[in-house]
Formats: sequence, structure tokens, C-alpha cells
Amino acid sequence: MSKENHVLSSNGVIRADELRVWFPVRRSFIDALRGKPQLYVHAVDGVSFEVHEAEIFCLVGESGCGKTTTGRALLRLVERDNIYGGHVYFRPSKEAFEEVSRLAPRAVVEEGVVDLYKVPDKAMKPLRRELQIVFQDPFGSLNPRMKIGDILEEPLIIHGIGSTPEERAEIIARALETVKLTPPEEFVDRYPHQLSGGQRQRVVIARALLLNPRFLVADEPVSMLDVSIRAEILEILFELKEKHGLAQLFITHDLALARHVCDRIAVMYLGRIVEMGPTDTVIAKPLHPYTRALMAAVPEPDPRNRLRIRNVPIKGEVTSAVFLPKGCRFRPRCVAYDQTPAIRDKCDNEEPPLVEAEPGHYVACWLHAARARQTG
Amino acid sequence: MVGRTASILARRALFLTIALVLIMILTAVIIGASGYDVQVLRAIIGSELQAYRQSLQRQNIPAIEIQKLVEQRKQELIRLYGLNKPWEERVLPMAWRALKLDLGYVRSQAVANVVGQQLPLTVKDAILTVLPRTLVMLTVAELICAAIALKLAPLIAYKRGSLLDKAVIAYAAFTNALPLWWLAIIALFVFGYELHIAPTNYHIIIKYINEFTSNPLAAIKGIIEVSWLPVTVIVIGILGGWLYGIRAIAIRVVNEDYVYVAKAKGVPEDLVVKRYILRVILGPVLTIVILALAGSIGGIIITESVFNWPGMGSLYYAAIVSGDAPTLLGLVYITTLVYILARFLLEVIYILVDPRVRY
Amino acid sequence: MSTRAEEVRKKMAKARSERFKEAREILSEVWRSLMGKTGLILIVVLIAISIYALITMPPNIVSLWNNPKNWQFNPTVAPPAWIADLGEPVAPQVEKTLGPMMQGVTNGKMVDGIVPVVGFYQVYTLRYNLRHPAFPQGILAGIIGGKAALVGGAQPIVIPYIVVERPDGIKLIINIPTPMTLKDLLAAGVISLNPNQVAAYLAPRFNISLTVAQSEPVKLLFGKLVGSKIEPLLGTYKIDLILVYSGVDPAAMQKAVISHKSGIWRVKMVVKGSAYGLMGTDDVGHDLWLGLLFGFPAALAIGFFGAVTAALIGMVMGVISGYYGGWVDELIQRTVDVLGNIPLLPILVLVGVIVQEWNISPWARLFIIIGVLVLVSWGGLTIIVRSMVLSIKSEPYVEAARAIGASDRRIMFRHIVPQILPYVFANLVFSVPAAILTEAGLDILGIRSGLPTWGAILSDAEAYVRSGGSYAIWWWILPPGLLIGITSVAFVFLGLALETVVEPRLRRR
Repeated sequence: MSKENHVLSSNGVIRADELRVWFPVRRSFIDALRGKPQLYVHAVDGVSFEVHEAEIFCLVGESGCGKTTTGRALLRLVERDNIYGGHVYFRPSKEAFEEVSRLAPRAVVEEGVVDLYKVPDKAMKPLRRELQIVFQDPFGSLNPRMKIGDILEEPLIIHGIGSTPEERAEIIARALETVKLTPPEEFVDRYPHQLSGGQRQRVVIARALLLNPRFLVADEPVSMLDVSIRAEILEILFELKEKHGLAQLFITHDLALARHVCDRIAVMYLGRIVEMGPTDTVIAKPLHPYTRALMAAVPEPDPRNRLRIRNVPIKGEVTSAVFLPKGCRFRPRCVAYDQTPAIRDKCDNEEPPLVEAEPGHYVACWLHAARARQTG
Repeated sequence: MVGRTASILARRALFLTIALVLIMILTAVIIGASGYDVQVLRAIIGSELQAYRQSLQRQNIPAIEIQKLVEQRKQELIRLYGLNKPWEERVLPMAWRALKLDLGYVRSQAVANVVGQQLPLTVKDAILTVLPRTLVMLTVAELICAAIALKLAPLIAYKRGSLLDKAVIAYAAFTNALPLWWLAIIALFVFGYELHIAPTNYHIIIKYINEFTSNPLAAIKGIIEVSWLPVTVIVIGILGGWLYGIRAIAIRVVNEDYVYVAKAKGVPEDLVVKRYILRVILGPVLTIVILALAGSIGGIIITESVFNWPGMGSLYYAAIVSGDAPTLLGLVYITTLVYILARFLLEVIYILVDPRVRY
Repeated sequence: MSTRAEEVRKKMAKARSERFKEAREILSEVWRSLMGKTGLILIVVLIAISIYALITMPPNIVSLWNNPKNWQFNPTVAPPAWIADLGEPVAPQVEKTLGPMMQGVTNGKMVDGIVPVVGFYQVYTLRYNLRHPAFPQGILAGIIGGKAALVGGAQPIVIPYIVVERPDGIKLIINIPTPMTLKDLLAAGVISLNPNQVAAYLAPRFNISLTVAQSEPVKLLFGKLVGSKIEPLLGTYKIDLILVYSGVDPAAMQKAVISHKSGIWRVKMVVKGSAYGLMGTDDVGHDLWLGLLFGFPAALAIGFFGAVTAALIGMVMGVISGYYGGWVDELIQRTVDVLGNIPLLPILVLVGVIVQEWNISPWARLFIIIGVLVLVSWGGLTIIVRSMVLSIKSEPYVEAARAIGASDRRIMFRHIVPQILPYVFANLVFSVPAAILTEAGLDILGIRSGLPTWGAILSDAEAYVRSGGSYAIWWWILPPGLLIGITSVAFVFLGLALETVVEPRLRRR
């Protein structure tokens, strides 16, 4: 990572830096009196990565690994109280940066970059425009009582884009055309439940695009859609990257999908990134035992191999995110731990750091840490 | 888990205690800050002084002397009733003493009249004397309603949309809309004054209840003779609400799969109702019943007033109208305490019985 | 602007104009149910009558009602006049405003054969035809037009006589004709029948003892003896009010009266019937029709004020509690908990007794009491709204709204409140009767605001019976009670219908 003394590389749009998001577990009154320690769900526990312009960055992992929380944290949708460390650096557009530096000069980290969690709520509005999200559930993320036109007009009204209804209609029409909902006038006076799942997801994307964002989180945007329309939605996301240079964080549990969509990929396990690198490299040569297990679980495209019982190299169930094991948190499920007695001591006692095993390819495993240290 | 349950209950107990204290303070503040008790106390002192003056005059004491003695007595009384102190020093300690179950003495003759005894009279005795009269009227009526509703409501819910169901809803709507005390007025005039099959004077309930220990059979007969009309009126008036409430609870269960399964298996209707509906809703229904019974000990002021029934409601009313702060605070305390205890008891039962209730 | 965008704009404008479509849908669904239809029709009728009442009632109805002087011409505890149409014998109420039939100066003569007159005098005459066997309640003359000015430097003295000539020819003076100054007479305003005078005169005529006569003198005046019973004497009664002036020059007095400078020139002569008006009267003589009419707008005002404020507070608190959570939520929930344990009615009665002593307008008194009711009773709605807000808050579209930069206020008012509004409205409709019934109940306890509400009328009736009056006063007890019931039923029906429409909608959400 060539960042020198800048927090964000020159083409970086957003960066999580040792980000920790913990949710307190409610403890009883008596327990609090007895001074029992407060417990936390370590949803995100020290995650660092950067998303560049015109890049789709994938976050892959099982459900509950903290990938969605990471996405929401990047958009500052997580309560500030739950951030237990780290930073989110964001490079807004020039105008937005000027506005924020005027409203909240303390949030400015360096020229053009702000620390999102240092921006007070009141000054967030110009940044909200540039940080958008597409949710997994296209029905739930549209208010069932509002018509599509009203849903799309809302962000415009909030941010004062288009001063007249005519202007706003123009913008909405364009956005709907961008997501290929044509003719647009067919859709504005419908309710969400009158649209198909794919159409709804396109409305969600259109809503995000209206504000002309610089960074988009796509949280499992196609997992609830029929396979037949997934490609169209992905097509739109690709286009956004290619034509508009939009930086995107693509969250998915589906490694096969990630392989098609992403430029770079990060694999998360229990709130930490265990492996990160260019998609092709990671897929072709997974280093972390967990990534390998995920790879093995991907359905076999070759029909001849379908009936073969495959051996997925993993054991047990996901560990609790409240009571994390000492040392490596993947250790209880790790096959390599069983097979490699030499590193067990390290695994038991120390959390493996994320090290650059080969150029651009990072991994957090004691199997590779030693090698990385030798080279690095 | 035991520690956690205990902690939940401890927290509830703590909170309910605080609520009780707050309600007492609120009542005391309303009495005190409005200057209402001062007004009443002045009147009491005035009439006491009048009587004192007259007794002195009868003893042929010279006028100047009388003036002096009366003035002296006045100062004594002012100190006795605490009129020389600001209201918060007069009323709040009274509330505090009530919280410690030291309810003090009844102040007004009107309250003593409801009790049917002479002053001096402690508030505790007053409440204990009056309580049974409300029990034989309101609490009995609530019990009757609870029994009928438990028997009928699940069946009505089971036959949702039937003519019977619709009739019950309409009945509930009507009785909910018609004031109970209006029914009481009409019933009293028709059955009491016109047809003479019910008493018009309900104060004799005092006599029957007093006789209860010495001659229980005659007393019970007397109590029934006196209370049949009020109890009937109250049952008619509140049964609709009971049926509707329990029907609403039962309806949530009626559409559950296991009820359909039972029906499909050919389980007889009354068995479905009894075993698959009633048993499931027993918890919430128990809550309603216990809270209704706990609430009933406060009496129903208006209907008791219509029948001139010397129960808790009438005691409340007399205490309020005559500005009898100790009695009023005592009543508020006891009725709220019973209600809160009932709620706490229910929470204990809930947590012990239902492992899912954890919060 | 492209034509495409123009189309979009048109569609959106149209959609915007249809924003109240949901309300209309709910309403039409309610209309389709029998209960909903009944409730709606009743409420419309209630509102229409209220408007009629507000237009036709005198604006000072409350002070008018509370001054017994305004009702002294009416019979007391009289059933409605239309019972005559049901075949009940009724002595009709006759009221006439009259000028003098005759006035003049005489040097001394007997007017009507029994009133000796010297000087200026006037005679006002009313004929009363008793056709059915029932007893009128009395005779009264009120002075409508007159002025007490000095005549020739002196205050005129007046002796009023009311002479009744019965169908059987018996003639008697029914008042005590005391000389009084014109000023005093005008101040008194009325000349009324004196029962003892009547009894004393008629006892010897009917050959009965004075005590028997004194027990029912008015019946005696309009009756005859059949055996030992007094029965109504049918026929035409001639009632003369004779005013005899003295103390001033008769000619000057006559001139002054004719020119309306001094004296009396207009009186209202009344024979109080045995039945009165559309809805009868109470023990003060109040025309109950007016009171009942006043009750319509009063009940609706009380109900709406109570329900709307309780619903508003309950909703706002519930939304705040559910949306913000944390200590605000805890505080609101605990407050609701405390309020739920308050013995409501005793506290209301206490507040009622206290404000009764305050020197404020009746409306202010009423709204303080209803205000306290509201303050104690918003909790139930808050708990429901809170749980609804909690479930809506976790919907992805709320997070989506936050992601596009919507403020908390916008999320609450644009995304959350519209969802819960139908439910809140159903709850509001349900709680309209609560305020009406509470007000009426407090009335029954004698805690009165001073307004002639239905509850107040009922409470008067109850007090009347309790103090020994006859309980056969159906016109006084049934209508106010039924009106309270009908009004409440209307809202309960509408509430039930709304609930059945709104609940599945909520679940469908």
C-alpha cells in the first residue's frame, strides 16, 4: 500500500483504517452493579482497506461476519457510539469538501480528505449525497406507501437539487432511463408493490444515482433477485463504474459472483479481513485456509463433477462474535491448525497480522506471516 | 439465569415502589398546592371554634374572657392542623406517614357517615370497614363477568363472524357507550321506586355486613337482597367489555395452525375450545382477571353514588368533597398499593411460568 | 424540457393530488360495513344538529340557563307538550304579551266587580281555555314594558291585582295586592299568585278546611270538588291584571303612560301548563329542549378536545420514545407506567372539586378537567405507537432515507407517522366517548362545570329524585342518557369499523 504519509492514495475515494464497530450486549442491572464487564459483539474488529475510483471492491464472507456492518460503517450509518476505534477517510467532491471544511474544520484530515466520524451530524448533509447504498431487499428499502415518483423526488428535495417540479421531473426521468426503466412516465405513479423485484432494485439504484454519488455500497444487491435478472442489475453497476468512475463496495457471500464483478476482493471472517488482493490472484491462489474453504464450497460449474462429494476443508460452526478465542479467531475451525503443529503456539496466543504475502496480496495467517516477514 | 430473573424482578419492584411514591406525592401536591385543604381546614376550625364559644357562653364566662379563650383555642387548632406551616410541610409528611402505613385519623364527619361510625376513627379502620361492602358488590360482579366471559368468549372467538359473534360485538359496543351509572339510575327508579322489588335505601348493607360474624346465614340473605340489583346492573354494564376483551385474545389463537389441525383431526368443538384455545390464552386472561379484581377494590365512585352505596367509591367521594386529606391519601395509597402488588405478582408468575418472558 | 420529463412531471403531479386516496379508500371500506355506516351517519347527524344548535341558540345560553329568573314563566317538572297528541290530558301553556285592554281615570268604581278603584288604572286580560282534565301549574304576570319615572315630581304608587273569573262564575283575587312604588314593581318584574290567598278565599266556597285547601291551592283554583276529590273545572277562565296607580295626579299619570314616559304598558301574562314545549322542563323550569340542544355541540367539543389532544400526545410520545430510544424512551415508558397506576377517577374528582371553587368560566373549568383526563390517559396509545415505530424503524427503507440524508424529523413525519396515522385515528375515534362519559359522570357526582350538558341535566334529575321528588320524570332522565349513549355508540361503531379496516392494513405493511 503506497500511501506514504497520506491517509488516502491519490485515486482513493474511501478508506477504512483499523475500523472497529462493537455493539454492546445488554447486561442486567444486577450484573452492572456487581461490576461484571460489559460484553460486546465485535461486528467489525480492526478492518483496513481502501476503495479506488472506478473500482468495484468486494467484501466476501459468511453471514454474520461483519461485512454489512462494515458497509454501513463506511457510510456513517452506524451510530458514532458503536465505533470503538479507527477512522473512515473519505475524499468528497471539491464543492462538498469546501462546505464540510467550512462547517466542520476539525473533520479535515488533509487537503481534500475528511474523517467521516469527526463530522458532526449537522454537517453530514453535503457528504450524504456522495455516499450511497443499494440494499439487499429491494422491497423493504422502498417505502410501500410512497409512489416511485415521490420516492425518487425525496432525495432531490432534501438536497435542494432542481428548484422546480419540472427540473426535478427531468432529473428523475434521466435517472430512470439510466437504470433502463423506460418509459419513465410508466413508473413514477406506481407503488413499489406494483413493480417486479428487478424493477424495484433498479428504482433503488436510480435513487442512489440521483444524488450523483462518489461512493456506492451495494449490499448483496442481487441475492434476492431471480437469476434471470441478476445480470441486468450487475450490468448497470458495471456501467456506473466504467462510465461514471464510481467507486463501489460490493458486499456478497457468493464468491462465484464476486469473481465476476470485482476488481479487488477482501475476505472477512468474524469482523476481520483475513485475505485481500486482486480478484484473479485471490481466486487463483487463495492463501488463507478460510478462503480455501470458501473456494471449495463454490458450486462446481462442470456438470461432470457435480456428483462428486467434495471435501470442504473447514470444521465446526462460526464462533460467537462476543467471546472471541484468544489468538487467531479462525483457529477453532482451521484445518491448517491441525495439520501444521509448528505454528500452533502462535495461533493459540497471537492474532495474526494482515501482511503482504506477495505484491498487492495480503493475508492474515501465521502460515504466511513468517514468509512475509522474511521477504519484507 | 436465576440471577437474571431475580434482577429483573428486583428492578420491577424498585420501579413500582418509586411509582407508588410518585403517585402519593402527586396526590399530595394536588391537595396541597391548590390550597384546597387550607379551605377545608379553615371551615373545620371555624365550626369547632363556634361550638367552643357556645359552650363557654353556656358557662356564663365574661365576654372578654371568652374572646381570649377562643383566640387561644384558635391558635392551638391552627398549630394542630398545621395551618401555620406551608402546604409542603403539612401535606407531604402526611403522604410520607401514609407510605409507612401510618394512615392517621379521619377528619370529616361526611367520611364517618359513609363508614357508619362516629369520629374519632382511624383511616385504617374506615377503609377496612368499608372494603367488604365494595367486595360484595363490584368484586362479585367482576367475578361473575369473568366466569361468564371465560365460558363464552373462546367459543365466540371460535365461531368468529357468526350471528352470535356479531351480537356480542354490538352488545359490547352499546354497553361500552351507555354510561353504567345511567343504567343504574333507570334500574333504581324502575325496580326500586316503581316496582318495589329492590330496595331504594342501600345503607342497610352496613347492618348486614356487621351482622355477618354473629348470624352469617341471615346476613348472607340480607346481603343478597340488598345487592342483587347493583350487581346485576354492573354485570350487564361491564360484561360486554369482558366478552370483547377475552374474545380479542382468543381470536389471535383461533387461527393458529394447531387449532386447524385439531379441527381437521375431528376433535369435537367444545374440546377444541377447551383444550386448544382456553388453555393457551389462560395467561393473558389471568392477567385481566387479577388486574380487574385488584382494580375493583377502589370501588366505582359514580355508580356507588347513584345507589348511595356506602362502599369504597363513596368513601373516596366523601373524602374528596370534604377535603379529608388523611383519608384521601390513605385510600389512594391502599388502592394503588393493591393494584401494584397485583401487577408485580403477575410479573413474578409470568417469569416463573413462561421461560420466554425475558426482557 | 423534454417531452418525456413533461410526461413524468404530469404523472407525478397527478399522483400527488391522489395523496388522500388512502383516506378515501379507508372511508369507503368503512362505509361498506353496517357498523361503519351506522356510525358515520350518526356522527354526521350529530354534527349537523350541533351546527343547527350553534346557529339558533342564543349566544349567552350559558348565563341565560344559570339564571332561574329567566325560567320563572315555565312550569316546573312538566312533561313535553306533545304527550297531548298521545291522548294524555294536558293543560296547555299559554303565554301572551299584552297591552292594556282598557285604561282610564275614574272617581271610584268597582272594576270586575271586586276591585275598588279611584284614579288611573289599567286592565290587561287573558282568556284561558281548559279543555282537557288536567291542572295548570299557576298564573304569573311579568312586566315587559314600563318605566319608573317621577310624575309631577312624585314616584307613582301601584297596586297590582290579578283577578280570575272561573267558568262557574266564581271571581277571586289570587295575589296579595300590596301598594308598591312603580320602581319596586319594575324591579320585581313579576306579579305572582299567592297560594294562601287562593286557599283562604276558596276554602269556604268549597266547604273544605283551610289546611286541605292549602295543600293544593292551584288545583283548587282550576278545579271543582267531586266528592272529596278535586277535579279540573273545564271551560274558559278570564284572567285580569288590574294595575291601580296612586300618589300622583291621575290625568298626568295617564298621559305619562300613553306617551311611554312612566308607568307600565306591556305585560306578559302566563298560565303555566301541565306540560311544556318539545322536551318538557326540570325543577327550575328550564326548557329542556334548549339544554339538550346545547348538549350536542358541548358533547362533541368535549369528546373531540379530549380525544384529539390525547391522541396527539400519545402519538408524539410514542414516536419519540420508539424513534430516539435510550434514556428518552426509558423516561417516557416509565412515565406511562406511573400514569397507568394512578387511580384515575378519584384524581379527576379531586381536580373537579378543586376547580369548582375557582372563579373561572365554565368552559375553562371543563377543559381543565378534560385536560387532566388527557394527561393521565395518553399512555395506552403511546405503548402501541412505540412498538409500531420500533418495527417501522428497523425497516430498510428508513435506513435508506437516512442514507439519502433525510433528517430525523423528515423520517418521522414522512416515513413513520403516515404509517401509524390510520391506527392513531381509529384510536382517536374510540376515545371520543371516554371524554364525554367522564364529563357526564363527574356531573352525576355533582362536580359541575356550570354548562347545561347532558350529564348536568341528568345530574339535576337525579338530585331532584334524591331530594324527594317524583321519579316519574322520564322526559328528564331518558333523553340526556340516550343522547349520551347514541353519541358514544356512534363513535364506538365507527371505531370498530375503522379498526377492522386498519388492522389488516397494518399487518399487510
